[in-house]
Amino acid sequence: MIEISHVSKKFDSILAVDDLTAHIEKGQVFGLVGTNEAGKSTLLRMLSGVLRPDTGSLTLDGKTIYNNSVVKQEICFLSDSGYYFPNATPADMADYYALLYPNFDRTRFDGFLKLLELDPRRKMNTFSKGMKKQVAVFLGIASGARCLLCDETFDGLDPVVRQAVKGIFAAEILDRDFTPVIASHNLRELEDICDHVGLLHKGRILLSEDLEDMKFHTQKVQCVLPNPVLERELLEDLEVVRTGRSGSLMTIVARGTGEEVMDKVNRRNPIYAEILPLSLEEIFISETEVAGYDIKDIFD
Amino acid sequence: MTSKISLTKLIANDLKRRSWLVILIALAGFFIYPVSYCMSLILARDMVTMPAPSAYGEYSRMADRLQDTAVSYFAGDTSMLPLIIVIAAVLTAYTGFSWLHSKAQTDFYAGMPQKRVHLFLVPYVSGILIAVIPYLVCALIALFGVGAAFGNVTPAVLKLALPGILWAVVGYLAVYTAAVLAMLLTGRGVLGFSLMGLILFYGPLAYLLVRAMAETSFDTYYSVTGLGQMRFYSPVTLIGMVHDSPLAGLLLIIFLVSALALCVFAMEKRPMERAEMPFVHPFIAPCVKVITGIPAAMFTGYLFSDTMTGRLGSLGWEIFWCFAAALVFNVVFEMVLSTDVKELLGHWRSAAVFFAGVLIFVCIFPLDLMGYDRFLPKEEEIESMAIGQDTLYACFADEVYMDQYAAGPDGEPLEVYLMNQALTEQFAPIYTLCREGVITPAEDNNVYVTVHYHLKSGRDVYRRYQVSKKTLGNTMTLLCENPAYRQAAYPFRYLDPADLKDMTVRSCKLTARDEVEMILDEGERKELAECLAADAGNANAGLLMESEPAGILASTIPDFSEPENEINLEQCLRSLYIYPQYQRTLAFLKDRGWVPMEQEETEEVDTVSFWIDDEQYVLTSEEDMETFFACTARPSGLQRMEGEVSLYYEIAFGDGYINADAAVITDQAAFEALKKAH
Repeated sequence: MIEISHVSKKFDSILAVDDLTAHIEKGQVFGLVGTNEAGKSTLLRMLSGVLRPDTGSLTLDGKTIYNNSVVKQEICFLSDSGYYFPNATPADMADYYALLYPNFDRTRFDGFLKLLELDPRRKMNTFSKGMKKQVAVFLGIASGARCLLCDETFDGLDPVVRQAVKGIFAAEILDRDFTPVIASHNLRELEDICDHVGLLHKGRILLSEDLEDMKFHTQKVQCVLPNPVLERELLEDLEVVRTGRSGSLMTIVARGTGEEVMDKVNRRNPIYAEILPLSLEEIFISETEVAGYDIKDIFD
Repeated sequence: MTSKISLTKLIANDLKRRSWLVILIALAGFFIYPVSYCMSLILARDMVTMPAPSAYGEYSRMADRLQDTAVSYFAGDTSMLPLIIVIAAVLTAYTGFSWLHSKAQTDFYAGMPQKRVHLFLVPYVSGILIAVIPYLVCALIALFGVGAAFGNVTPAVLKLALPGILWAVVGYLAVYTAAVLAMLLTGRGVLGFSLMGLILFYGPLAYLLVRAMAETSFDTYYSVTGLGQMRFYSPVTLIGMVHDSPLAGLLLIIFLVSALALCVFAMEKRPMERAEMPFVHPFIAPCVKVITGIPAAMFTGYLFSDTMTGRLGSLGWEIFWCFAAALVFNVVFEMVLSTDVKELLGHWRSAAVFFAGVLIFVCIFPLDLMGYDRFLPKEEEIESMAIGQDTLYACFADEVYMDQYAAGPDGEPLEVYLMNQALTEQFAPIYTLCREGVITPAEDNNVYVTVHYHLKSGRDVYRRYQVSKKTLGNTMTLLCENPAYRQAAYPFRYLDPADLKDMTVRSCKLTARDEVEMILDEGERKELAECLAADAGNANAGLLMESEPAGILASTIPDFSEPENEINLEQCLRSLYIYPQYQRTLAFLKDRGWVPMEQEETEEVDTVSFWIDDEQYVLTSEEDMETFFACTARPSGLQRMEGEVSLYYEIAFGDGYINADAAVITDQAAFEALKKAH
């Protein structure tokens, strides 16, 4: 559906996106994860046509997005710094969206507001930050756009609303051709909702995989081996992403299926060995350490 | 499903959100047009009229006054209209395009499914409607509604008012589009406003500054274009000129079209990531720095030099302060943009261009390395030359008034027309005069004279030299040996007998009270014009410059109803000198009962007071008064122009009549003795 091909973007001397290539399938919930200044917001702005890439192309169904009003009707961008007209109400904002998105579903939008008890005639400048974000999400969903780009949209939502929004997203995906792209630092949130994750670092994609595949092909194992020689052998045998030690207890994050990793561990007659669940956060930290971004070193 | 976005609906939505501005402009328009126009018509209707026959009597017709009021409101060069247009244009441009200066708003608008050109068109078109519709409604209500109540909707009024309204709309479009362009090229509101000011007013300001620098730096500087020329360099000033100048209208339209094209281009190419940055493109800041910095540095340098040294003649200080101002401006500019000291060194290239520009201006102006003041072409390069008549006017008139709007037949300034008429190929005496002015400018007993070089290349060059009166007198004497030159150079051949109506004549003595009104019929006016042409035409200007006039023939009121492109010397010469050499004129006047006083008459004088160096002296005795009159004289026009007036006097007569004017001291020793005694 969305093809990002060798895209670069520079702001003065800062290379925000560096020869990035990615593919977003139709119907995926695509999570865009990254360190600070990884290029997530820049990428979303290029995908929404706000910014023009310096090189490369961004297409939706083979059509260039930039300055293409027809294609952009299929995309709705929810910026991290949401904007609303001065003295506008949610109804006023909906009227404006309806002018630009021909598939805007006013009934649906009003239903969302009613669900969360938001008054459509109340001025937005009297809303809290969370309420404004709620309205933004509802406008985006009701726009009818096939692709909804959310830049840290879930931040600021309370847990109840967050769950409700996740449910709405899931329903949308089932009902129609809907592909949300969600950029966030909150990996736990993304883990719940996303089924595909793109990890950005310094303007490049470190990895882009289905979440389940990511977890399937990376394992965290804790083990105690009889002697240091076996430990060294094991570390050389495994494709190690990250290691840690607490006394004789080793914690190793390595690439491979659970079977492959345990097989290699068991061949060293461990005193103790166990595969532990790996969170997205641990995968994120491990992969970025490999790329040279070790937040732990800041505190050493 | 996709569909075409309705621009009309988007414009309507934008108008709804900016409805407060529509109301504001409509209110302003209402008070300016129907209300204020009504008040002006009431004033024009009720004005007290002058008794006819007189020029004012002609003008006093109410219909004419009402018509002129309508013309001034809808088609005149009124100062309020450009100001109102600028305010409305700046407000609408800012409110329509300030979103470009906010990252959050840029994400919102640019993320919407709209083409770039539509992002421009929607606020641009609605900005036009916001101002133009209220203006048209208010102006038409005023013209047809209020005007009808005063019977002032006539074909003559409509012929001027309707195009005037249309041009006001064109003027607004030009200024508004320039303001939009400024918003498109910047990323911050303050800089947007600054760039608006730069685009709208840089032309006239730069013109004024260059002219001021030339006037200050060049001793021989002379300009034939006048300050009116600068009005062509700004769309704001062009608005007031369109009614009289087709060129101004054309320039306004060209400006509008060019600015609009630039706006569309700027919007298409605008990098949206530049919101909240000073300028949209990196090359704009150095260009703005150089364009604004050079004139600012030069102006500040001259100002400081004048203020700190007390006179603008110290070349070293001028140059020092120019570069000092350039340094300060460079620092301030970079600090305003980035507040980063490191940027001062980072932008060294633009700083180098900036200082180089200041250096070039210093070389051209204070140092005069281009040789402006030393300009003296080879004789073989010159086709003809002329001496400007403004100096000579002072020989012929007591009060010299060169109407800045008086023009020749082709619209050129009157003095330029007269100088062109006086061009002579026998220019050797003038060339000798110029050589003196270039090589050894006179400092004492001098006079300024304008010279026109018409070169064989077709180029016209003008200079103003400081020469001695003696040399000028000799030059004029030589030139006037040629009757053809005399005919062309002396202005009296242009006197229309019809202008010589309602004149008075009086003597030039300090105690003169012999003013007589000259009521002449057509034949007599023709005869007087012939006498003056013959007497003044034969007179030697060099001799006249040294002579004391016997009398003054004064006109009453200039005829302002003349079209501006007709020569009207009454607008130049209000009162003509009658010299003792004017035998025919004096005979004419004698036949009508007037002869000039030959000496001062003190019998009826009560007191003579005079002021010199802010001190007042009062003479009451006849002996003192006679001494005073013996050592003073009424200054000639030339003496007045050269600032040779020594004192101001007031003569009080026994019947209460007071005669006050300026005088020159003819016998310094006797005068000092008189002063000492009092």
